[in-house]
Amino acid sequence: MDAIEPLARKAAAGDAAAFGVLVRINQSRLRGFLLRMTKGNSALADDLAQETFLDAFRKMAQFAGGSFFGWLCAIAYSKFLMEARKRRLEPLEEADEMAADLPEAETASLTRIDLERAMQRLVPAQRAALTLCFALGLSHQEAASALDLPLGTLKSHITRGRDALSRMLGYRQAAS
Amino acid sequence: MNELDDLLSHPVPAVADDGFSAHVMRRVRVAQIRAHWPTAVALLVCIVLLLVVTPLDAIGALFGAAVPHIAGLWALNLAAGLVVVSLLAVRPLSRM
Repeated sequence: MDAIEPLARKAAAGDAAAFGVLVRINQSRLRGFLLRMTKGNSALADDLAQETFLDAFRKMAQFAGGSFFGWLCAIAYSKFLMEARKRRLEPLEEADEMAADLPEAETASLTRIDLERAMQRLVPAQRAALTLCFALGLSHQEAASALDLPLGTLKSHITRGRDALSRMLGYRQAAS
Repeated sequence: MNELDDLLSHPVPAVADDGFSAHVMRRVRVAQIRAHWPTAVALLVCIVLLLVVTPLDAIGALFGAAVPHIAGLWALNLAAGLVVVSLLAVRPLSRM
């Protein structure tokens, strides 16, 4: 990650080649994050990722250091929320039925596919918090900043998200 | 919960670039051109306006009258010669 800082400085000064390197370094993780946020809609995830990078290039001078990927995620998450509101993709607030049980499992063991399906039933804030902190390795502080949430709220989303996943996947294990 | 934490900690699946970065950079270059376009147009308009209001005939006549006198000044010729020699010498000297 040490290589990111000088590249970000060059990109902030308008160096498109340096920004190109940043795009190549971060595209896979950012698209992976957005793919999970859009519940596997790869066309929408890629559109949002492109818009995120374009916006990042325009706002490079505003990047104040720290985690560049976290900064990208902040832009991406805000774009995702706007798109979700516009297209009414899913409820953005928590509802009781969000943590409903999944259909009966085919196997008893937890798999990544089970997890992905269960993740899709979480509200976006919980899905984003769990993805950023667990799968993408951001610190709680970085994730809170990326999601524009107070630290306590982020931790609450993580706890409630894990509890909901545990209930969903636990039910499946018991049922099979 | 440990099994769940292990699953959650798996990195998100890697997404192949497949021309994504190149496409983003093409859009970045277009955005750059668009960002500079108003400045270029404003500059062009200023140059055109300047040419319209500048009394080119009067300036031309003034130069026409002054050039024979300037050409006869040995100090000016010497200065011009030094500038040419300096410009020619810069590149070889910079390689040394």
